[in-house]
Formats: sequence, structure tokens, C-alpha cells
Amino acid sequence: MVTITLTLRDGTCRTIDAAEGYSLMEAIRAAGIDEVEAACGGSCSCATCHVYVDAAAPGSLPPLSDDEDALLDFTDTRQENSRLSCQITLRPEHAGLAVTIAPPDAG
Amino acid sequence: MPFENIDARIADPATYQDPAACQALFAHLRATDPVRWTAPQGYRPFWLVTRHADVRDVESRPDIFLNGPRIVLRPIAVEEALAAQQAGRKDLIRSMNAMDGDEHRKVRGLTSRQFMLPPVRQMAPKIDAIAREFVQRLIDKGPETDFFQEVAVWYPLRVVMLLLGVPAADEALMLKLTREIFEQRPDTDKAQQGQARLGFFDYFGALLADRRQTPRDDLASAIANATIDGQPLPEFESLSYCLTVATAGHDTTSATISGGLLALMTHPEQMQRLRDNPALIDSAVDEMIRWVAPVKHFFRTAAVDTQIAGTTIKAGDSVMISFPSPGFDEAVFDAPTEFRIDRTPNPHLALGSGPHACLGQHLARLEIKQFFLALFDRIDTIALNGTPTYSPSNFISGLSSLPVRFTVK
Ligand code: HEM
Ligand code: FES
Repeated sequence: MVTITLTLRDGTCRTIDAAEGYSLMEAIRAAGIDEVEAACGGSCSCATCHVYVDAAAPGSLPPLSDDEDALLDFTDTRQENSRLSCQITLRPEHAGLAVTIAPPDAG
Repeated sequence: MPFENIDARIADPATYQDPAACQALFAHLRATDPVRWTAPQGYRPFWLVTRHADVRDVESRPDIFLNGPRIVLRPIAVEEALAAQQAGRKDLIRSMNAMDGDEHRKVRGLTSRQFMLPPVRQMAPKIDAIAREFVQRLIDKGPETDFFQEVAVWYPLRVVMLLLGVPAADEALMLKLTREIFEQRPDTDKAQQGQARLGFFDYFGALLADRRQTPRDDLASAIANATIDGQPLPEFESLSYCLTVATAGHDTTSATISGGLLALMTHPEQMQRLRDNPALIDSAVDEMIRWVAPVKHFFRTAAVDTQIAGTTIKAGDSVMISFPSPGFDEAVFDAPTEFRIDRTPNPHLALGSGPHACLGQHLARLEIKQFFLALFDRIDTIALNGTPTYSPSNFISGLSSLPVRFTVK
């Protein structure tokens, strides 16, 4: 289990214990939080799983792929610390990861 | 005795010609044997996974449940014949749905940009124009026609061929080859699929050569000139890529549009609601996809010893994931056997999930949406006019005829 802190859209904080080997998106959904729509099922094509990374162990996150980068560019809510949560597979080194769920994109 | 010979029924292409009976079988499996060791005679055995949570679980562990090497269910005799013909390879082509990890990401990445939701949204006017052309074709065939054969087959074909860069004049050839490659009729000649592949490869070989000379703004050009880590994509993979996009893109969507229309005709109150509230179109489209779920399965292979819902799966075991069954799982859906155009949320898995989830999903949704909007713009009434028939296949199955009668506004 990996412990992760989430800030929801209304500002409330939640701590969840996520299973290793699954994506952060799956972990958020498994915790019963439906603010991450994940409309494409985690295939890096919809950007509805957008989060901002508030804290992460240095070097622990996988690098941004070209597709993730391109898809984030389509959103109007991209920030420096933007990631798509379906593209982060949780490993033990992610303990202490803290993310905020990004506002829905106007589309 | 509805649930005898379950293993044989799962493999039998004819099973999928009766969607209601098929769903009853899946409901039985979800309730009694959700991770079932299935050993139909003449096939290599496999675990069949039918519950929503378990299918989702398998698909969200892509490092453990690999897409290669087993892709779809084929009789051992066919696998052996194919392997003998092609130096040990049991499949006709090698494309992204047989790949894993980095290789999959890179190969899918060659075209994934065009299929992302934001650029697909931009295609709405173009798809709308094509939808209107095919609604006109329907009207020209009226007042009675076979909606599947005359319209549903051709419209998604036009869209995907346009994307690929295949001229409209060659669509009939593409359709013929696709049917030959997917057909699972009892009399299907084993050599037929191999022949169809060669037909595709001849055609796409010439198309790719042309696009290397004179690139255009189409997928064939992107594939023809693709490089992976600085190396050109090998010809076999490039041809497979074209074949995959060409075939994955239309049968599925044709089945969903015709199956969706059938559902509306057999639920007239739902049809009326949609016509009164066109804003329901997006949820209606997903309900049609859940309802029809034309892709019946794909395989995964366990890379290591693992578990699915407490059942031990050994490294090397095959796992068949059902795409229709999760959409009818009572644990997730309220009244799953009811067709409700306003179902939200609608977390069906008929387009898959995880890194291999349908590449064309946003396009497919847009195509279906534009079609029904265009249809209801022009048609006053439309009703079933005979008994529909289904194609036999344990892989991609849907209507093969849909007689309708309609009046124009
Ligand atoms: C309603 C229509 C459609 C349905 C129901 C459908 C369903 C599916 C399913 C179930 C998968 C496997 C997903 C998985 O393994 O998790 C898939 C994969 C795929 N689909 Fe679709 N599909 C549709 C339309 C399309 C269209 C229009 C295209 C392209 C133009 C397309 C291209 C593909 C490709 C290339 C893959 C392989 C993706 C990969 O392995 O990474 N599909 N589709
Ligand atoms: S779930 Fe669609 S991009 Fe992550």
C-alpha cells in the first residue's frame, strides 16, 4: 500500500491507501472519489484525470510522455505541476505523494 | 437446461447471435463462476473473466496481464495452420493490440494524437456532413430497406477510410476483405483469412509507397513515414497498422449504430425522449455502446503468478476478458437489462480500459452521435419491419440485417 494525499475540488483533503501497480487514477477512483472522470479509461486520450502534483519524492514520478504532454497542452488548466493521473503507476517510492484534482476542463 | 455446455457455448460463434441468451449466460457466470477455467474442445483453455471489477482490475495491471502473445480465440487447428504458414507466428498480423509496455506506447503514439478527445471534437462538422450524406442515402432507399446493409455498414467505413486516406472508390474492396478476415461461419475456409490479409497487404503496400513519395494529411502518411527510436517502422508492422485501423474502425461502429437503432425501435418511449431532448444524445450514445458491446473479448497472458478476485492465475495462463459482460454487472449498474438513454454515469467497459482502451473511442462516439442527430432531423417515423439477424462470431459480432420502414419529415 502507498499512502497518498488528495485535495478535492472543494478544497477538502483526503488520505488514501492505494495499491501498488495500479495507476493513480485507478487508486483515486477505487477510493470512491468520482471527481476524476477518466472518460477514456486510462488510455491518455481525454485529460479528464488531470491533477496537480503538490508534493512528490524527488525523481519518483515517471517522466512526461510526448502524448501526455500533448494532451495536457489541449487543456486550458495546465500548470507547471500538471500530470494525468492515469499515467502514473504507483510504486512504493510514491509514498507521501500529494495531488490536487484539477478543475474540469471547459472542453 | 439453459446453462449446459458453458465452455463450448463461450467458444461457439453462434452463441453471440442471440444477445439476450448471451447476457443470461454471462449473468450466470458473474453470479456463480466469475473467474472460470474454460476449456472448450479444440481450443487452448483459458480463464474467463466476466465481472466489472475483475475486468477493470485485469486491464489496470498491464505489466502483469500482457496483451501478447495470445490475442483472440482461435481453434488450435487454425493456430497451428497459421503457425505453419508463417514461421511460428500464430497471428495474421502484428499490431498495437499484440504489443506491451514501451513498444505499445511508441507504436500507438504514432497516431494517438489524432484520436485524442480535443482534436476529435474539432472533427464534428466534417463527421456531421458525412452523417447527413448517409441519412440521405437511407432516404433514397426508402420507405423500406435493410438499414444495416444499406447504411450502417457504409457510413463508419467512409469515416475511417477518409482518415486513413483510402479513396471512396475502394471502400467496397475494404469491406469485402474485412468480412473475410473476421468471418467465423462454420464453412469458413481457413485459407480465406490469410488470403484476405494478403489482399489488404497488397493494397496498403501500394498506398504506403505512394505516401512515402507524396505525403498527405492522412494516417497512411503518418504510418508510412513513421520512425521508432530513429528507425523506420518495419513494413510488416506498417501494413498491420493500416489493417488494424481499417478493420477496427468500422465493423464495431456499424454494429453499434444499427444495434442502437434497434434498441430505440424496440423502446419507442426512449426514442421519443431522445427526439424531444437532443441534449440526451451523449448519454444515449454510451448506452448504445454498453447495450451492443460489439467486441466480445480479447486475451491477456499472465506474466507472473498472480490472482484475480482471489483465484490464483499461473504465469503463462491465458485470460479472456469479456467486454459485454461488465456493462450488465448488477453490482455496478442499476437495472442493467433496461435500455435507458439517460444512464449517467455509465461506466461500461465496451471500449476497454487501461493503456489499450479503444484508440478510436472518441471518434466512434462522435460518429454515432452525429448520425442519430442527422437521422432525427430528416426522419419522421422509423420502425422495425421484419426480423433482424446477427453475424456469428465470438470476437466481433453484431447485426447482419436490420429491416426498417420509415417516413420522411
Ligand atoms: C463503437 C465502436 C467501437 C467499439 C465498441 C470498440 C471497442 C474496442 C475494444 C473493446 C478494444 C480493446 C480495448 C482493450 O483491450 O481494453 C478496442 C481497441 C482498439 N480500437 Fe476500438 N472500438 C470501436 C471503434 C473504433 C474505431 C472507430 C477505431 C479507429 C478508427 C478503433 C480502433 C481501435 C484500435 C486501434 C484498438 C487497439 C488499441 C490498443 O491495443 O492500444 N476502434 N476497441
Ligand atoms: S483517463 Fe483519460 S487521459 Fe487519463
